[in-house]
Amino acid sequence: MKGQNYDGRGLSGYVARVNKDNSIARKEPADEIVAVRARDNRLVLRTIAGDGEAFEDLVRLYYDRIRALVFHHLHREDDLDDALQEIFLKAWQALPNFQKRSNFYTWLFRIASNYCIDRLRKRRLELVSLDGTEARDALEARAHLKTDTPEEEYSRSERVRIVQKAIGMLDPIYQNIIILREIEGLTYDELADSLDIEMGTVKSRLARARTELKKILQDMDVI
Amino acid sequence: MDCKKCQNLLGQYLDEELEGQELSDLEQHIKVCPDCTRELERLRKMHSFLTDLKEVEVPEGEREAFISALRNRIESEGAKTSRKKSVLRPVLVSAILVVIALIVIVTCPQKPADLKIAPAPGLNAIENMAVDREICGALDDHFLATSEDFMVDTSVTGGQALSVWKILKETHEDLFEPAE
Repeated sequence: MKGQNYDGRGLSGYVARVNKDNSIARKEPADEIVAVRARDNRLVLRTIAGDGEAFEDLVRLYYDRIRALVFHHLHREDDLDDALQEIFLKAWQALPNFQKRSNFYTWLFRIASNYCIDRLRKRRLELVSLDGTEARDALEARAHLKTDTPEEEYSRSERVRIVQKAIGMLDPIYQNIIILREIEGLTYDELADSLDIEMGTVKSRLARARTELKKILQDMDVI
Repeated sequence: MDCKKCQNLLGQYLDEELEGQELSDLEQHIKVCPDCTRELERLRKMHSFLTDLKEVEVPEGEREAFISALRNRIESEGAKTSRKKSVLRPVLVSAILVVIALIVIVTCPQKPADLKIAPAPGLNAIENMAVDREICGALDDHFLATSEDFMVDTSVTGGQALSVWKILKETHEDLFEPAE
């Protein structure tokens, strides 16, 4: 980072607060993201210093979001608790390596995403090894979901189930970026940070994932 | 703009990530192209369906039960780690401190002249150099989140670096002493 040109904008779009007279402005955070980052960094520092309660506070803060992320990937309630334990344990173990330039939550999302993608790949390998079961299941799922029901008549819960199925048919990498963007609502900057990829790759991967999902939903006559 | 390029950019358009010429080209194209308008509507509909998935309720008490289970798991993992550490610790710590000392000597940047770090109580010379290095590293960073609610740009030199230094002094009082 040393010597790099810096335009005053951070990853989340906030500006540096250095006064003209070279004093550092001690202002309240300019936006919520900066405040969240400072709060999380304090908890991270306390955790590294051995304060177990600080880590529990971090878990408390992000449990719901990580739970939703894992649920949308794995769709199995019985796997959920194990998966969450593994993810938060990994985070606790890796915390000393956390670079405080990132946001803690995008770093945590990266750990959770990698875990989910890995699990999905393993699950698919197991299914494929059972004599092409996965391909047959996918075809059956599409056939089953394609009904004569006009889209307006789907109940909301039915539609949620169908859309979840459709996401599950995507490649895990595409599934992941759709969930992070469309459901978790991460910005493009946060996606780049969470997935550790360039902005160009965020855009192309997201466009490809949306095209694939749209194709599946069209095949199902949902859109 | 042709249809292929337009459809490639529709997602970014919905996300309000387009600007300038690209945005106006796309909007012009949509006005005259029914196919791309239809695609845009499909994407909008898909987006609204995906929004329905946002509501995942966490059952009452689940979060705290999870944290309690995780605490036990971390305690048992921590015990395993410390057993491993106890064998290797003396050798590792010495090796790491020697490496840190070498790095400090070679790379530590010049600090403002009118303040200096006081030796932290209870640390030996090499450990103090490691502390010194930590603070020098902080000055090199673009952002420094200190223990209070502020964040500063430290990609600056001279007077600004001194200001950062002064704030560091306030927030890490035990590590600093005034210049003689």
